[in-house]
Amino acid sequence: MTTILNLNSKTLKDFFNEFTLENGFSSVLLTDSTGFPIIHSSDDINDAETTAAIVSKIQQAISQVKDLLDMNILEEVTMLDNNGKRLVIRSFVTNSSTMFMVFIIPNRTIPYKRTMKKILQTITTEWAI
Amino acid sequence: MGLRGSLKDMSVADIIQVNCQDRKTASATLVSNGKEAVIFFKDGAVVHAFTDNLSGEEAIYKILSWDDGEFSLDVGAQTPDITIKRNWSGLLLEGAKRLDESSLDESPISIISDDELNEKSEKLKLILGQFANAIKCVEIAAVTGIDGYIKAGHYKTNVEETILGGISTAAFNFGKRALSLIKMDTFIFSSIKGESNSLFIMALSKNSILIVVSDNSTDVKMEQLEKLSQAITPFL
Repeated sequence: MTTILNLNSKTLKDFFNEFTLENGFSSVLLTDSTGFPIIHSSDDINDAETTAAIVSKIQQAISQVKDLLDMNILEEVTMLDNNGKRLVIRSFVTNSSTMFMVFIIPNRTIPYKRTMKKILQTITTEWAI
Repeated sequence: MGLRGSLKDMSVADIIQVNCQDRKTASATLVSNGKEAVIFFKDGAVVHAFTDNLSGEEAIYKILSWDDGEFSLDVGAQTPDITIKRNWSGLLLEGAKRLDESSLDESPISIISDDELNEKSEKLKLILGQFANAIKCVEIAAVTGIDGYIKAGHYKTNVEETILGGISTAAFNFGKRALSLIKMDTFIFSSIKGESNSLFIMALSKNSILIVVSDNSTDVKMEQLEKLSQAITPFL
């Protein structure tokens, strides 16, 4: 992990690809609050762009719910479909910017909390955006 | 980018709403039971539609009754004609009215009495109360209709029911749309975790939604929500 500091974005994409494969995720995406996909493990850029745009919309919609329910800072959003497939969006702040890690996890039996923490730590502590 | 999907995941009304709200110029081609229809959008307005021997508003009202089939979206497609002047929300309202009328014509009327509704609501309240009392971090547990109407609720804190109902409907519809757009299956559950509170939304049936708000002193487990959902379902 310590090598991440010196990696360019192409290698970070490799890291995302390996991370996705190792943990059995369908895809992993790093996006900003405007819906711009920064790094993604998907081979299809359209998929990454669509997901990033949806994440941005979800954040906009949730910010209204957040105010109404006095939820303060938003940390994590999970959506589950009929087949047990999960979309997990985790917000974090790095270099004063709010970013979102997005995981698409194919079924409910695959744990993600620990691995998500690990990738967030890697990005926030070792990668200067 | 072309978008494809199933009408089971995204209804014709949803397709119209999304394209109009996003102010799109596009065409949506729909295929259902061997029939084809095309709806044209221009700068967020429905301007033309046709299917079989119908065109304009009448075609839209026909297409709105399709609940099975496929659709594809061609962003940027220009309309060959303008046959519709009515705004999109007016089209959807008129379409819903006509669907209601036709379903009344086709099926015997089944009326639920006030007493029956009250009885169901009391049972739901009891179950929600038991759930909220058993799990200390739960502050709000309620069942709403997809129209945002609160069927029953148990509240440990002050809550504006209108806002709660609105939130559950908005979150449910948004979740449905979001998952459909990223090619996931039917939306059934969402959790939104804030710094101090969490919100859970669960689809109970086609018409009912469970909404739970908790503080973050402990986690509400998925298994607990599923058990609650099973207990509630017979009284919906």
